[in-house]
Amino acid sequence: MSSLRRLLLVFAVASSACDRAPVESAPTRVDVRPRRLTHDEFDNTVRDLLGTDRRIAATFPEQPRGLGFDNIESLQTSSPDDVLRYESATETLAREAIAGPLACRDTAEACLDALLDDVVPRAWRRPLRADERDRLQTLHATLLAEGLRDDEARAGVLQAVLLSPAFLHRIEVDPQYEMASRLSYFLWSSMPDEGLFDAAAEGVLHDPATIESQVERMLDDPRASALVERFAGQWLHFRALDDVFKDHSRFPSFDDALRDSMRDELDRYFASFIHDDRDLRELLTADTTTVDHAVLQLYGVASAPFEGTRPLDLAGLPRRGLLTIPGMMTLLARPFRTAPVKRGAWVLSQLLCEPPPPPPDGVEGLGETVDGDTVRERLAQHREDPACASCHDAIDPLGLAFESYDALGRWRPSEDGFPIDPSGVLPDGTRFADAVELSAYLANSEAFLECAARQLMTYALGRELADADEAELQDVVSDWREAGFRTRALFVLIARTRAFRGVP
Amino acid sequence: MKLSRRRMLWTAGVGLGLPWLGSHRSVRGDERPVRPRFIALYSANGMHMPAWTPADLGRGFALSPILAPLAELRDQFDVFGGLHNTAADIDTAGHHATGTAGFLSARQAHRSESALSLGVSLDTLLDPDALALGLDDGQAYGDCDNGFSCAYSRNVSWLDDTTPRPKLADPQLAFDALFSGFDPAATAGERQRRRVTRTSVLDAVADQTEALRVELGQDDGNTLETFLADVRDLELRVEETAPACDAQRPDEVPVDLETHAEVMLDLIVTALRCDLRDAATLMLDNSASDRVYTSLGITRGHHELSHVARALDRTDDLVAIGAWQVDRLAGLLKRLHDTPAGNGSLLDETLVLFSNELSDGNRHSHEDLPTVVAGGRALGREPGRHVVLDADWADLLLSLGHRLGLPLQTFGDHGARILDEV
Repeated sequence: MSSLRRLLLVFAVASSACDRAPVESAPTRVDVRPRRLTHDEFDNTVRDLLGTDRRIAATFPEQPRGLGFDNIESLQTSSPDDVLRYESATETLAREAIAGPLACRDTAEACLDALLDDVVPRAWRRPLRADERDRLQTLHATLLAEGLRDDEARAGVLQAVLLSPAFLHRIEVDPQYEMASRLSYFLWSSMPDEGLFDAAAEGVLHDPATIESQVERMLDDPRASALVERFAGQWLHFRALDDVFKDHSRFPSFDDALRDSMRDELDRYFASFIHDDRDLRELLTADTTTVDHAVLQLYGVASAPFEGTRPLDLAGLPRRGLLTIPGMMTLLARPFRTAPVKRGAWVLSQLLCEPPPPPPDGVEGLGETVDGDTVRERLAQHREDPACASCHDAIDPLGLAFESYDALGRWRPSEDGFPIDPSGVLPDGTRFADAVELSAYLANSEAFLECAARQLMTYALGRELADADEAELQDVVSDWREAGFRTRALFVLIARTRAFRGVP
Repeated sequence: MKLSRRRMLWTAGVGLGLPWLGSHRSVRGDERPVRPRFIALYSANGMHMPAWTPADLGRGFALSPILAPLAELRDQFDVFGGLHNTAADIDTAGHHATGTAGFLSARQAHRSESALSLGVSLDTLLDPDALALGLDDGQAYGDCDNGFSCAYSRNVSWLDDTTPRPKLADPQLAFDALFSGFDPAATAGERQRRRVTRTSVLDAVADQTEALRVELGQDDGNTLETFLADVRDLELRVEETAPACDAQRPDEVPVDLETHAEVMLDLIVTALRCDLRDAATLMLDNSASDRVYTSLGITRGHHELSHVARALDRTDDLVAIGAWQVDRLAGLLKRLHDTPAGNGSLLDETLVLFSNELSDGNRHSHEDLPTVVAGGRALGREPGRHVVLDADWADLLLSLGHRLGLPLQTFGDHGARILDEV
């Protein structure tokens, strides 16, 4: 299959024994069902609609994940208990909103009109039809007749609005308003704002220039931080830091505070590419980052304690880019030690979109009783087995390059007294001296740039790329190259694809 | 009980007759002395089989180290050997996913990151509203197992071929699901008042959904139709009078694993004791879980250990984890045994299955799965034995279903033989 061919091209793996697990070929036809808001999207939407900080859906059972993301439409399933949870959540949200930000001291009729005219169209992200308005008025009257107070009846109406599939799902009844939602859930993981609603009302959201200006505007908005948490968090596994456990006796300095500092550094780092519209190749080569005092210690830079964060110039330090950031090296390690195979496999799967096949059954893993003084020597030993070598010839050089950073990402010239050799040769003969040189090589590789675009497109569409999408992906990469691989250009190009706009 | 649209769809889907289903829930207490129920406890990464398998067969076998926590319940459980989950045994990698997916379905999972296909699970056949619990939600990043969607790794209960039942790790959500959102401590008047409001709101939502469905014309994948059925189903549940039952809404998710497990086991017993559910599952962990059992003094992740324990001479850690899991089973069996039901205990009316996605975790083996079946004395079982069955895992599930009174002729991909020993 084509992905294997790409792997062969990139790393010229000699043996065909490194075969991939069978994977379904991409679908040729795409059924787009009305997609349900993800839990994050639900919580963000009620935040922007009702001004609440409650994140009730965050407690719901997790949604099935696939393709590395939690917004894959074909995996969205529904059960009566789901409706029960939404019912309970919307009851609380509606009651609190009517008692708080949506409190109304006008006449009952005026209060209901305000709700129906101002809140409901935003909740449903499109204008309300007359029959829909009538139905909600009828519900209000019914609830009053059942003996509820006026505010209670209005809360009931609001609850019905939030429990409606028009709120919980993204239903295409108007292409312009749907495009507003596509953009807002892509870039903000939340509902559209006035600017998008206005553009939809004007009917200009199909225009390429309008899409570009809207995307630029939206990426300037604080809500775009959802891309860091949701897109980078899943693509680059930043979220894995939250689950990382370290052996306390070996890493006494690793605690929740340091974990948070590491996560903050990664988040800030990725956010800067969006905020400053940086060349995405620099993701792997940048010579600056922003750190707080706790993380600065991991960089081995002496400093008096300080509050907040400071820029750190990496010139003169043995580090460049994402792969040498302590948080990244920490999450790509084990509780006891570094994990070169994990690091190498991550580079292949997340940065090059070429996940290595699994080890054969019965492989014991890299035990610590295996002979050999360094991890490199132990890995070399198991590469002597041809069954292992076919894949590990590609994985190990990538991972071993990062052996100079320990399980907390601290630079180390040696391990247990034995010098570390981070140099390597890729299967295509490319030589590198260390992780910094390797990162520079990866940054400029076709595979990385196409993979970044593929990951973002999968996230944007929330589905597996079909044949037609693959062709568009190639166009996106080509146009992106002309735009100098600026980060924002990738968002604009993807938002303009037919696949994203839902145009056949 | 009223039969909801969803349940009717389900009934049609599995080809079972209505009379059986209809009579199942409606008969209570003295009218029918035995009410069959089913609980499955799942665990991941296999077992250290040398410390699991008892040395001798038959009754009065000597307990192995991992089974030691069951010492007080000697005559309440069988240990079954020789069970092979052939449906889960695939040629290539992905054994954790297939072992978990096949745990209660005995079907082979369709390898895909975006299109699910498996089969209905045994718990769902007994109770379409089966309770699905777990101790872990699951990691929020990364993939799960070699091209299999994480849905296969995170769920053992399946509503139908394409729909995993979301498992609940939050005890409050589980409690609310059991009581359909009602507070069992509320007065009848309070409940009635709330019921009226809820019904009106749900009615309005159903009408709005129907209007959208009509407007859209085609409903790809029946999203709105399914949603509508689920809303109607909830309406029926809201209208049903929840049984009077002494139960308290639990606190939030406990921090420590042991307390969390206790709370979840209590919920399962409540669900059965109060006749709210007839089937329940508890995933003690997720497929290929790398949980670190710090309370056992273990510092390596479980999945990593399952592959390196032998090389590191740390198989004691695997034994400790296995015994910890069996200790949860013992806790459940004791609770059931101490709860009266019919002429005996709740355990007598319940079949409890305990097993794992794998046997030898390092080899990803689906052969000789470590299996305990407990309870069921009121269902014609006389447990207390160690038996080697030499049968397919699907045969075991078929036999359990048979014992539970399900009119099944076959089960899963390979189940056609009813095992007398079960």
